[in-house]
Amino acid sequence: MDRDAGFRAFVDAHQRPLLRLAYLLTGEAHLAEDLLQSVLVRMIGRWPKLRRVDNLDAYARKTMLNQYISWRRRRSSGEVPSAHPPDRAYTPEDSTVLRIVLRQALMRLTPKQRAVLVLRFYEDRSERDVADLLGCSVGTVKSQAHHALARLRALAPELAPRLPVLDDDPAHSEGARR
Amino acid sequence: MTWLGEQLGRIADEMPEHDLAARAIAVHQRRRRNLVALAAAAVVVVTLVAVTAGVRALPAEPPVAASPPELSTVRIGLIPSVEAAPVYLALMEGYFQEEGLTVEPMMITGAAGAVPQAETGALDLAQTDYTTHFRAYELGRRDFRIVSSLHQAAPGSFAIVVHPESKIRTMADLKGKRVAIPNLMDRGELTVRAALKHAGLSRDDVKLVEVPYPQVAAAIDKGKIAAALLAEPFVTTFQDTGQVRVLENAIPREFENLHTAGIAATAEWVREHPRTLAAFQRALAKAQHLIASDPEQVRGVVPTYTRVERRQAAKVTFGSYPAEPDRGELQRLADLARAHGIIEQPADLGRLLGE
Repeated sequence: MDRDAGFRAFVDAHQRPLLRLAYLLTGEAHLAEDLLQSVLVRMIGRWPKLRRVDNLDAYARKTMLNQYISWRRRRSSGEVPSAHPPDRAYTPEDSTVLRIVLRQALMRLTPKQRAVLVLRFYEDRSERDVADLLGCSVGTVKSQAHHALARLRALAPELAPRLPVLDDDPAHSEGARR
Repeated sequence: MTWLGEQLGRIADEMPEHDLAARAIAVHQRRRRNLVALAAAAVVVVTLVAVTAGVRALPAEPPVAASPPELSTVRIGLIPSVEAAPVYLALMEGYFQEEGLTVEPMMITGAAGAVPQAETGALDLAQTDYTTHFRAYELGRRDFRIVSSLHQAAPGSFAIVVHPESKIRTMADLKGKRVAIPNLMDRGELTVRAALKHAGLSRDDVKLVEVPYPQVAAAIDKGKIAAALLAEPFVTTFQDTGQVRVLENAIPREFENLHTAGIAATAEWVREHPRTLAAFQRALAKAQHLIASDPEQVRGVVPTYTRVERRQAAKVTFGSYPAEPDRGELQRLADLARAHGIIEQPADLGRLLGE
């Protein structure tokens, strides 16, 4: 079927980055699959119309972010991260441990803060891009990123020296080192 | 990229990949059918309710198997290389299902990453390169058991690779360069240390960094690393796409047929789930026996969980898949780990093997 073939080609080409994004947003493999799955089911339902959309990848991303933020708002439970850092001694070479700390701290951000951080620093997008994807202003992206980083520093002081300092961050206008 | 971006990338690596297109299409078609069926069903229900009016026969409870596993779902952390093939083969052949188990593979980037996940219960079982658990034991994390064996390497299952146009020809040329392994102080590091020693260098003559196998080609391409230890099928695929060149004769002979992968669980998990473990082991052994009688099965299953194309899978090198951990071979590995300074004390194999 032509419709399925086109859809399949789109998913093949884009599912990996989309799944990774979904995983970073939800922090859980099953939730990530559910999230992307719901977006894909929606897309195949409208596939004939979507053919006219230029940038399907951006469309999928926008839908997913939108769904994620409203989804988390609806059923925002006290999210429990899946792994805890060991309380035994660990060597500094254990980058795995810092990663678990980061992961845990990320789960305690608001959905929007988390989305901004992931889009800005993992997908390496400009503030303008992030604002477009989230359907908000550049100012909101800036303030969300600022709050998110401040909260990460507060939640996990051991990460603080490794976190980026924003260029136009009023609190750190000196010595920006992104 | 920033540290934060890099770490987020590493976290994202944990996400296992499935073919979501097929599932989305199936869900969509089911919904469309349901819509049609719903209208028909409404008519039927009304009729039925009228006819049966309160007459209801409850079906008998389905018979329960003698003693089912304690858990119906088992989450296992796996590194997406040829080493994990028997688990995916058992899944594909329905061997776990026959034992009443749903096995969910979760991708891990290295054995070290799975240690804390197993300790907190996020994973039930996890692939290990053994070395990581020898070292974990020495660091006081003693509550692990090796419960199954996965893979014994053959010459070519692992390789040290560089950029195809790199001037590096021998291990000795790596002096001062950045060399990648999946996790520091794992079997990868052991292998690289031995290869360096062979070439008259030491660990401190290079800078070891952590890069998961799937990202090695990109890291080499961007010049982030000069060389990396790779496992199959990545050696074949990255060579096939012209992204890496294998450094010939880099890996010392005594490393070529090591037992490179097994499965570990916490001692507590083993104690609390004896039937689940036995069921898992039976299904896995069945897959391993299937491979022993028909090694080509590995080429069939590898493309289902890695980005390897069938055409490339034909060229992949893999070893054998012994079902039982081999005490003698593990001792040899532990001795190598000690000789190269990954561990300091002789490993307590009896305890790790739960003897």
